[in-house]
Amino acid sequence: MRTSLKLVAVLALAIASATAPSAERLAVPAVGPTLSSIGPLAFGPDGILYAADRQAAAIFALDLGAQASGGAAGTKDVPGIDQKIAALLGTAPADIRITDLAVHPTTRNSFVAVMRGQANDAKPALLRIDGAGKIDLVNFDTLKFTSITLPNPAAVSTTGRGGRTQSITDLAYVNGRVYVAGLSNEEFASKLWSVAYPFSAADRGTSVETYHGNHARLETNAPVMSFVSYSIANQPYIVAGYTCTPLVKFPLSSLKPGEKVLGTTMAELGAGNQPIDMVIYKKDGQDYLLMANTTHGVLKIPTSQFATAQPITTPVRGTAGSFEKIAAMANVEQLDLLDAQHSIVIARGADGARNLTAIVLP
Amino acid sequence: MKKGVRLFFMAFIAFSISSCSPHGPAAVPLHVTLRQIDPRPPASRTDSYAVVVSGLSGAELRSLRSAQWSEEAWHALMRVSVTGNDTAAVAGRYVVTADAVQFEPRFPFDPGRSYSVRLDPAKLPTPRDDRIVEQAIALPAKATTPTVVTAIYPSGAAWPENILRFYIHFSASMSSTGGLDYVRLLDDAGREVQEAFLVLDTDLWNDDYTRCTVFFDPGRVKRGVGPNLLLGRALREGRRYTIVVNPAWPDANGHPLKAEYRQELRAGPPIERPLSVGDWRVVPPAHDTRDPLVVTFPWPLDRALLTRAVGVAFPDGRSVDGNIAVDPGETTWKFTPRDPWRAGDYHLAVLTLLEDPSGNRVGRAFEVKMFERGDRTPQPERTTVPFTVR
Repeated sequence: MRTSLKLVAVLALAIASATAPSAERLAVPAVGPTLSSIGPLAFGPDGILYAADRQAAAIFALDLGAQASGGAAGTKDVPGIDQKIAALLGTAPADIRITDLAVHPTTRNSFVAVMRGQANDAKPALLRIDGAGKIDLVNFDTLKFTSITLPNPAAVSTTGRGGRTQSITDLAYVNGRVYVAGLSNEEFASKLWSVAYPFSAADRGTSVETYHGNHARLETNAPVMSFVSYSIANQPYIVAGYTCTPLVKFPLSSLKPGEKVLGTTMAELGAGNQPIDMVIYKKDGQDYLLMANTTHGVLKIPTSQFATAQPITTPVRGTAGSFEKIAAMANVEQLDLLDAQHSIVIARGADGARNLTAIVLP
Repeated sequence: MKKGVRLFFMAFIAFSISSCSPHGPAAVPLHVTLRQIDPRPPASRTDSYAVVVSGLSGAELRSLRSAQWSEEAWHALMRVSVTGNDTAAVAGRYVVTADAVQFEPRFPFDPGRSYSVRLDPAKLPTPRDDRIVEQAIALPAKATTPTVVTAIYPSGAAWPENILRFYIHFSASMSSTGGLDYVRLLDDAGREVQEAFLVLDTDLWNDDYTRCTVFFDPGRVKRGVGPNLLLGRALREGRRYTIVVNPAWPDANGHPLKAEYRQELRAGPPIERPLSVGDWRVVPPAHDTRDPLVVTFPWPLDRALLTRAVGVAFPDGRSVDGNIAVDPGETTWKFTPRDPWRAGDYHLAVLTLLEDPSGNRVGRAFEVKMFERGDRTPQPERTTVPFTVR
């Protein structure tokens, strides 16, 4: 699951803050959400599923109701899951795109977000995989939901926003707020947007611009690709993975509206790489961050260094920080925590097919 | 079937059974067709086709209507699958109408794709002793014209060596397939520059998938970080390069591009300073004309942002309606008002998120020297440049 926030771009448009919230921007509780697109996903502890709709620049909070618990508990491995989902959706594997994977906190069923089709014709679908390996298409028509629209992109021209879009790279529910990170196809900014849940008409969220040090002389901003919340020395933090690939921490308390926040770079994970998903788990009494990446595979990072690591303030050749590459987890495209002992991944096999597989946490 | 709609039936094997039926020897053969169904909400289904089984008797329809079947029982009677991939039945719902049973897929059938229908009369509530009907059906494929690359921006011949992004424009919608597999940067010897671009697991298309944003790897662009120290920048000042777009890149219909596209460029010196509106040349037009306001920049700016981050306003802040044009080279921005200019004061309104292709913004370079910036207060969101029409 992309527990990260993709909020970047979205927020970038913080200009939107100049406009008052309107009634249309917030959906009252209703049944039957109409999503234009879906993914990434994140569950809250009470089983509410937060789903990003990039095309509508909105976050939906979905109450899955009976569809969260209708199947056998857990998640059974599904080889060739892309083939099976494509068959169910009536199309070819090349015409579906799996946009995220998230595990329900109590049933441990896996939910997979998919876009079916291409370009403007693509439609969102949400599928549940249960403990018997059964794949069910979630019926949106009966779901209760609320939603909130992200701030509008800034524009001063009369030609409008033009070709700007906002990809949401990650989202997560943390202590009563939904945090969103994103990436624009035009600006290369880094903003983290958050809003209290339940969504309300009075709160349209706040946006924080984040920076991290390149080294002692320079700082830049860049999109957050994946993030998790984590307590360091009893203080809540956001731990964020950026493009190419610093690992940065921000105290949650520092994310105050309207401020620029400089994060502390704790590790450099290497060049030519992007974080995909991050999860926190405990093993043998120690906490670890498990991080899937586009180039460097899955990395296991002891979190004990997060409290004590000296901020990286000098140029780094290669990598910095302590981490271990997990060779057994190859070609991972989606990652979430299945239970206390297992991760669940969608990975591409040698034959090109994508497989849903539970893997013992390393 | 709606007038004018041509359906192609592939492998047409409809079998009927007339003997041994409990409904008597006159039972009508079962027949499978593909038919456009009436529009019904949600709107996404209005163009849907359904698989329709006709030939059922009134008694059979009544028994099906009251059957309260599970999905599995319906699948046993009538299963629709993608031809060649029967790992799951196509999701949808079964509806018993006044004269037929129809299967409505949850997502519209894809034009040009073959689907297999398997109908087992023995699984009716009162079984018919008929042969299984197996039939392939398909909607006609869409007629298409080949998609081409229409432009790459920046359009100028010189790109700063610290460029962060460029745009590829297409004549029609592309697939959501990421572009990096199809875009290469070649050096002046024709060798590919490795790891030049940013690999993202998200797409960076505009709304209609006709423009793709490609980022250079920012780790190689930023000074002093690991990738930059190890590999240097992908572009080196003074050298020539070619961007090559592979025609295998599939468009929204899964077809390749008409032809390869190449754009040559020369790497210029890096631009590592913020945009300053004070450096812009603003040439006001004459009053009572609709001549364009012309603004010239000292170096090329981001073409996409120029169309939404710069505008014209009256002194009280109201926007002036008009059209924006960006000249080739992206150093000249023109604004033609809808109504003639009036003599008096105006201002150019500029969002500070305006960037050049290297990520330098108004008032802030892409890379900021940390010790030169004590405060962390955000920049203003916009700035203005006053001008007077005389």
